[in-house]
Amino acid sequence: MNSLGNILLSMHAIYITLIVSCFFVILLSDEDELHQYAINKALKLSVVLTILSLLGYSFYMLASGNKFINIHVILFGIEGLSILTLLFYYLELKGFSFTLKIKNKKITNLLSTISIIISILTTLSMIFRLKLLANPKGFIRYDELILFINFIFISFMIPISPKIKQKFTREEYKKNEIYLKKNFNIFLLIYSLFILSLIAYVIYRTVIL
Amino acid sequence: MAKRKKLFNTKIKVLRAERDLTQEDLAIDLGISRSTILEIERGTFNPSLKLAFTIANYFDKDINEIFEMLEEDEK
Repeated sequence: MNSLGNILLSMHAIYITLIVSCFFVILLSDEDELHQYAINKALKLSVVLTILSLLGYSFYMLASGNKFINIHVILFGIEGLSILTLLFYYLELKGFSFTLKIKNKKITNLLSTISIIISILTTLSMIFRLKLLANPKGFIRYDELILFINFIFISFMIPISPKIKQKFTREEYKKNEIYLKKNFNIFLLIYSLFILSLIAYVIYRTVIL
Repeated sequence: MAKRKKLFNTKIKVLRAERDLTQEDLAIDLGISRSTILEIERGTFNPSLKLAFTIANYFDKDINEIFEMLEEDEK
């Protein structure tokens, strides 16, 4: 690494040390309820944002076939987490709240339908190894990449979707629970059969053919 | 980003004024920060049951006399 690169790296190290020190002071100090509440909310949001950006970068590297990650990226990840937490913590204490919630049920339904369609299409593309979504340069295929992103998107969508939970009486709740258990068992059976047949197909393709 | 929603009504401000206490005085007496008192008075921060009882005991009142939940949040 040239001298400019060395200077930049050492500057970055100094900067991250300062930021992380402030972060630890705020994170580990046990002031009172409001501060704990604010730090919890700030951490939640900053962890989500940091993980999403690091995942985005990792997926980009995997898709582009590059496995050498720059040390600056690791530093940026820690820095991002610390700065975002401190920023959200400060705003939370000032009375500004960040909540990731979708209030419109139609949007949720539309997004989940799109997500299901993407899941099915990418799974089929992965099974049949479509050339359209092949990625000769990278470590993962494009359909795999889309499926991974879609999977993360689903996990992201579940907690921020509007509540569909209805208020039940005790009798209705018990009836509903029996119905759900029965349907879940049927789903589990179909899913297990699907997975088993998929494994059998893979074994057939690799061993017999 | 939005301002925190009001969750409940509280009479802390009135009780404080009756006793001629500032937010800081009350915060020092209860061992919490002034910002916590401020947010509780605004009704935008839900105190724990322990803190709510501490506040009620401090003013020698029943907890229901100090805090009143808003209709919206009872649902």
